[in-house]
Amino acid sequence: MIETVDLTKKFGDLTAVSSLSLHVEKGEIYGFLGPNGAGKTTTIMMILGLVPPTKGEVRLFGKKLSEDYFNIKRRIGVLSEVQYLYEEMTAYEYLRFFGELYRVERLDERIRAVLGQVNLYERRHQILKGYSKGMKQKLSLARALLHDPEILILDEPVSSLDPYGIKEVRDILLEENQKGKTIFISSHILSEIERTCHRVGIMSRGRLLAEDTMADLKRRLADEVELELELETVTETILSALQSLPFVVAVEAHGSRLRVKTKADQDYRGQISSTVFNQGGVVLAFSRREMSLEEAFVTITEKNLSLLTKEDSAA
Amino acid sequence: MSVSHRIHAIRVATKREIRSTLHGIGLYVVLSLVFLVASYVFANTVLRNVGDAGILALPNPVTLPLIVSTGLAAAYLGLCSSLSISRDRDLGTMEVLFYGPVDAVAYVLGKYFHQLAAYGVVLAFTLVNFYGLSVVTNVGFSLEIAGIMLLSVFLTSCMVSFGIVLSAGSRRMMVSVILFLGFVLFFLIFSLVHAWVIGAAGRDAASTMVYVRMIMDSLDQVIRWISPVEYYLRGMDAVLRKDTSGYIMSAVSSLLYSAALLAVSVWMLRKKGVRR
Amino acid sequence: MGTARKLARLLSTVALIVALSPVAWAQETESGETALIDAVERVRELTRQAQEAAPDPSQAATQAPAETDGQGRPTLEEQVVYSISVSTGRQYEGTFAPRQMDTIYLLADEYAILNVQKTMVYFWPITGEYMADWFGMSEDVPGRLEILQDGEVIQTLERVPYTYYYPSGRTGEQRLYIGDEAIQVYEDYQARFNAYFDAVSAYFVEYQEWQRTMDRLLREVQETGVYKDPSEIPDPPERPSPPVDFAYNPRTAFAVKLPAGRYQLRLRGEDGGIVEGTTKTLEVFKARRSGIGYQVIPEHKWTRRFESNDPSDIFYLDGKRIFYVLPHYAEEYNQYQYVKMRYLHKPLEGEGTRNAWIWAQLAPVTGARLQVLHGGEVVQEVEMKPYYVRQRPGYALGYDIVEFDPKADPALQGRSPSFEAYRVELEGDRTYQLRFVDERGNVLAGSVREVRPIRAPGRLVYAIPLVPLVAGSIVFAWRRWSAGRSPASA
Repeated sequence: MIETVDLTKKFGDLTAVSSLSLHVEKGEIYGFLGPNGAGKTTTIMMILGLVPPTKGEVRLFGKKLSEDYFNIKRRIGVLSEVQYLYEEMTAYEYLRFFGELYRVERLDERIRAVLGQVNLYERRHQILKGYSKGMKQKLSLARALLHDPEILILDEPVSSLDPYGIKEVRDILLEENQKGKTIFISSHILSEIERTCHRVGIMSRGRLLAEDTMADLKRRLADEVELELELETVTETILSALQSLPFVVAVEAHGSRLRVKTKADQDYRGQISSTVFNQGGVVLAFSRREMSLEEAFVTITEKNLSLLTKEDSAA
Repeated sequence: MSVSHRIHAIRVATKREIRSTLHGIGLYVVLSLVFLVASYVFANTVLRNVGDAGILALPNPVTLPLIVSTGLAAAYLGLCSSLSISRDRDLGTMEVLFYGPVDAVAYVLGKYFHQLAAYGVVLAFTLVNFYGLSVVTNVGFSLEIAGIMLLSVFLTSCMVSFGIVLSAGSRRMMVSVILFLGFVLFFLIFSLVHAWVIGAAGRDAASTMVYVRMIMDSLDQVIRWISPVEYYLRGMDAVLRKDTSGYIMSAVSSLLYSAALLAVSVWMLRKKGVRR
Repeated sequence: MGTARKLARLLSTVALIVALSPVAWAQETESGETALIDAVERVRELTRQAQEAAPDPSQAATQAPAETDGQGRPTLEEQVVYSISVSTGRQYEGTFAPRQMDTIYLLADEYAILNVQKTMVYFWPITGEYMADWFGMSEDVPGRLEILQDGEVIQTLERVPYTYYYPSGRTGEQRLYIGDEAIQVYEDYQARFNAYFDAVSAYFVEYQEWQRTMDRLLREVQETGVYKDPSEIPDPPERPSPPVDFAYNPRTAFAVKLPAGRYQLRLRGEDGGIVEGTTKTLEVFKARRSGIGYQVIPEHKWTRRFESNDPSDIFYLDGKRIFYVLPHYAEEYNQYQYVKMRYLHKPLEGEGTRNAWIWAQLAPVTGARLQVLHGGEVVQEVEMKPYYVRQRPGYALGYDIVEFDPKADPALQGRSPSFEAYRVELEGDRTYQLRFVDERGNVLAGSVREVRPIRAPGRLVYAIPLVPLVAGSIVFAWRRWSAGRSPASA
């Protein structure tokens, strides 16, 4: 649905996006992550045709934007990070305007539906100047959904929302995805991405550093695996035996709990378990601690930073 | 296909903007002020002069106040145009529009037709105002007045295009407004001074005056193609002369002028982008 | 035209001397008829010589003075110039194109007289004009005038005779005649001129005869003491009137008449080559508009006349209902071209007026009637009449404008009319139209003017502009009200 090939944008000497190749499948929720200045917004702008790329191309629905500009645009819904509304209008007028622009059929019905989705129907005749930030964000989401687009591109969709609002939006997105919509989310609220997205792409300094499903990404990113064991009793012999294992990197004891870091090249859980048993220990619980997306993001971007720094100094 | 999409986008954008204009109080206040100025001019030039002389031959005396009011109204809409794109860009509303099925051409033409539609409202009030003045003073409401009113649409077209091109080229509202006011004042003052020095072209005029005239005449050769005011004055001259072909020429050249400026606006908008 | 007027005055004086002096001679001399006829013949010859020597009137305006007052005379330079005589609609005026001027301007479809001449030229910076010493030197440069358009010769002109003819005297209407017609006009004039002198000779012979008869009758009365019956006393012979018209001795030059457009001019000399300095651009232009101009004489301020040339003008009246009008033909020209045409020898004239337009007043409209219409119906038809402005006697201020009719009003005998015009008197606050029609009742194009009495609107003139504000306030209030309903009424 969304495809970028070797997409590059330079602003003078600054390369905002470098050779970005993305591929977002139909029905997928794609999370687009990256620290500030990573080039996420520039990428979104290039996808929407608002910023011309220096090199490379964007394909939406398999076509270049220039090939069928108006029809492609009618199939996309966009929610930007900051809400820019016509504040002299009411919510109803605002949606009516965009509905007409997108040629939405049975517009009044649709307006009622989307305003209901975002819980703003009761305030449809209120002038937007009086709306709170969160209400504006929800109204913008309603505007993005109004024409029932096949692709939703959302830039920080929950940034101004309270926890209830966040849940509402999350539910809406999942519901829309259930209906078959492809969703491209750029967000810094990683927990939300983690909860919603099927796949993520992580950018830093204009480069796409990683792109995968959540599970694979975490797996691929972890150099070490952290195992947590709860023993009946932790003894020095157990600790020494574990530390002497060649694949064990570190062992920490916290009362009856042990945190063992092993290399990630294999699954060493069996060997750990038998070592404890051999030293007279009794394993009450054994778990493998998953890397959060946040940790993966930090890991990736930090690695990337050090890599880039090396590249820079080598250059 | 894209033409029909574009036309649709222009129509919808124009409709939104005109509703917004009509719902605000600004246009009405400006119109009343403009008409008050026109009434003042009417009472203090035409009515007073006829009263003093007892008999006077003039082209329709509503012409002068009509020119003043249509000129001011067109300048106001030009000023609004000079704000429009830079304000939209500044507020971010332009970006939101471009998320959807709107391109630079549709956007610029939407702005243009919005101001023209607003001028339709201006014309309706102008008609009421000047017809009222004509009736209460018995100065008559002639075909020329209708001709000038129609012609003022083309002046507005030029003014609005001029405002749009400045707005498209400026990132900041203040810059485009200052540029617009600066240019329009310059064009207006130039036209007035030029008319005055020509009027002072007596046979025994001092040679310094002749040189001033010559310089202004040379400048006029350039400014007459740049200044929206000049297009209007040429058309008005044709109205008063009942010169249909001159009138059509003025209208066509005004439209060409507008088209050229709008094309430049589209180019500038594409170049500058829609983001803040 | 100052010198032309001087010349006219000189010739009038000569004619007057011719008419009166023989009477004196006849009374004082005894030599009789022969001496008288000789005297008349001498005057005839002198007058004829004066006429033939009279310079082309179109060159008089650009003639360099013999000596400028206290300023000395600038250095004269010999140049080949175009001497130009152009019609301004009312008369022919003269200018010339010195070497420095590249473009000549002429009216379209009107004859202009151009001549290529060698003369002495100087530039007088104080008045900013070129002057030529035509009296000192004005040699025709032989050759044919070629007129080119788009690089191709479209006309080749030979010099032809031309003359200016004044049917009602030298200060009146002026006509240009070209070719054989010019010669014929001049010969006709000469015939009238000679006939006049012949009549003058005959008159003096008859006068002497009459004088002698009267002397005889007087003597008889003195001798007999018996008075004569009045029927026996003869009437004196009638003194002949000199011709009122005048024609200049024909000269030769190029008569140019072209449609509007841009051309080139050059003189091809007798050797077949182009005479140096004769290649010029010729801009032939036409009127943008034409119509009937009105000179309006308000009854209450009769000395403050004003013009209305533009057919789109409307006459607005405030309280006054009587005025007088005088029509004339009028044409609107580009000011730059029109002024350059007339004053080509003054390089600064007309500069900076390329986009300005000027109404030229042409000949007066004669033989027309003024119609006053209301609601499409003719309500008055007015003839042109003479009027007299009579000051009110005594301490009363002001004046009355009365029809000049000395027969009906003996107080006007011996006086002349103040002006001739069409009198318009309107009634009430109605709207009228004025127009002129010719003898056959055809409306003269561009002569229609609307006349509207104006009403003082008072403060209403400032109330009407508030309509948009009222409308806007209603819309604005409605908008606020309808938006304020939410959410309770949603």
